[in-house]
This record gives sequence, structure tokens and C-alpha cells, in this order.
Amino acid sequence: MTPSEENFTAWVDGRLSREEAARFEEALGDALPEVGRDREEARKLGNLLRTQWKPAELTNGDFFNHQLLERIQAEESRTRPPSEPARHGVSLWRLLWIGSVCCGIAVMATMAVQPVEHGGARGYYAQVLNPKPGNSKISAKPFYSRKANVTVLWLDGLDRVSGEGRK
Amino acid sequence: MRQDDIGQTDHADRRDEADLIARCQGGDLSAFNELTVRYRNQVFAITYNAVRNEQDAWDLAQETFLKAWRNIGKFRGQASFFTWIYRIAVNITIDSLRRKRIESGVEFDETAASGAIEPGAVTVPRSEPQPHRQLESREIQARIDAALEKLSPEHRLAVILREVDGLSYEEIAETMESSVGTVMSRLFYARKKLQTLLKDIYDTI
Repeated sequence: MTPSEENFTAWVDGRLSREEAARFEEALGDALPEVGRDREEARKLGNLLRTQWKPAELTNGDFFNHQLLERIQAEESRTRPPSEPARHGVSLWRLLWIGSVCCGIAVMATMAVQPVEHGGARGYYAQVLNPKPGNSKISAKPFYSRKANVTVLWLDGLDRVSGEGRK
Repeated sequence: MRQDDIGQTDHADRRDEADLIARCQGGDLSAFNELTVRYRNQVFAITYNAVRNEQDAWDLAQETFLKAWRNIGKFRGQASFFTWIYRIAVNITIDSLRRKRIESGVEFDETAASGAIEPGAVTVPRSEPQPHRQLESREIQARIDAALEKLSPEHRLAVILREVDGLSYEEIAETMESSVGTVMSRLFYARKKLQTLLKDIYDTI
């Protein structure tokens, strides 16, 4: 860029002092009207850009933010140290405590389910899951006798079994 | 956003912005989200004007905000947040353009683009003026877009920063990491080229 080009740009933008502008215009001599028209053109162009041109707009701004925050969070989780020493200590103790409590619960549950022994003989464990028979005429009732240590499933409404059938 | 628009930001807005920045510096991501909502359009406009490709502009705008978040602790409030992020956007965009240029092996030559235009050179419209026809604003926009497209990214950015955003030579030089002389040179050639391409429009409206 030549000094005159530089001066011309400053002249268009009103960046020359009064003295500088006077010197520049004097130096132009006969070319002043022509260069003056060129300055007008440059100013019209500036006006056109300012008034008629709209910069591109971002569409889907919400997604832009969403993506940006995701990237920041991913970056932060990558750069963050695995965990601080104090926090590490606490979480280890917490893990141990949770482990102990779980073990305790498991032992208590096992003991509760363990069958009770009667008279030295090992007891049994029975559970009636569904005492409802398929036939509506038949009713089924389970009951447990602690004394006899038996569970009985009492069925009503069954047909009599013939003597022959018993054979 | 124009420079005078920035100046018109009222005191409450500035205080609100300062509060948002302080929260960001304390690691508050929701405050940064709010700042992003405020400036995403302007940042996108900067990157789009340089690369003229929506996807690339989107990526560069994302990089701009990411870099702003990483460096928010260094922001001291000497300039407005907009000026600060503006500079980041321009730097990231120019770096990206330089990388692409190096990859493609094409170097931009200022003089080659100039075509040795004299200050007093007559600007000849490419198409015949159509004084009787009122151009639609959409058509004008398209013509200006097409004309800007013909400039190099550096020339385009310089002319937009000056004419549309109203930045001073010094501010443009700072944001584009170049000298004031280079900025003036870019403005000179960019204007000449645009005058050639858009004379029929600004003479008509």
C-alpha cells in the first residue's frame, strides 16, 4: 500500500487532522474532484452495508448452548483429578461401613429363615404358595400346628374316593 | 452489534453482566450459559462472515465460547465482555483460515487481490445500473452477500468490522493481530472491490 492509499483511506474515514487533510487535498491537485467522488462512493458503500446488509443469524441457538455445555462438562470431567485425597478417605470408610451393614443384614436374614429344631430332630420348612384350587367347588385352607409341627392343607368339596379306588 | 449499540448498554445491564462474569469465574456454568445466549448470534456472525459456511461457522463459534470459558479467569473487565469475546472469535477464525491455507498450500497475496487500484480509480459497475427498478431488500442482501463472498476472509472481516461493527483501525488491528497499516490497506482494497460490484445498488437506492 502506498502512502497515498493510506492517506486516502484515512481521508475517507475522517481520520486525518485538518492540517493533514488540507495537505492531502493540496497534493491531489487537479485530481481532487475525481478523488472526492471516489470518497463519496466509499461512503455510499459504507452506508449500504450498514443499512441494507444483515449478518448471518444463528439458527437453533438452544441446541448451540446445549452442545457447548456438554463439551464443557466433558472437558471438565476429563481434566478434573480422579478425586481429592480427603474425599477418597471418606468414600473408602463409607464403603466399608456399607459393606459391614450389608453383611450384618445377610447374617440376620439367614438366622431368621433357619428352621427351628424340635426335640433334637431337625424341623422342616413348608410354604404354601397358592392354596386356591382350580375348581371353584373345592376350597383349600392351609394351617400349621406348632404342637405337632405339621402343616396341613385342608381340602373341602372333593368327591368321595371309592373303596376300589383305594386299592 | 455496532459499537454505539455497545455504548448504549445501560448501567444495569453492565452490572448484571459483571455479576454473570464473576459467577463464571467462580465456575458457575449456568451464568456462562446466560452469557452465551447474549452473544452467540454476534459471535456466529463474525465466524460466518469469515468462512461463509454454516457448519464451519458453528464449529468456530463453539470453539470461541469454549476458549472464553477456559480463559474467563483471565478476564479483568478492562474491555467489555463483547469486545473480549469478539477478539477471541476473530483470532480463532483467522487461525483456522491460516491452517486451511497452509493445508491447501495457497497463500493469500494482498497485492494479487488489489489489482493495482489507484485511489482515484473510477469504479465500474459489473452490471448495468437499473435506475428504474427498485431492488427488493432480499435481492440487495443477496447481492451484498455475493460481493462479500468475492473478498478474501481478511478483507471481508476488515470491511465488516469497520463499516458494520464500527470498530476503529486500532481495534481492528488488535482483533486481527495485524498493524494499522495492514488494516488500512485491507480496507482500501476491499472497498474498491465492493464499489465495483455494488455501485449499481448504492446508486439506485
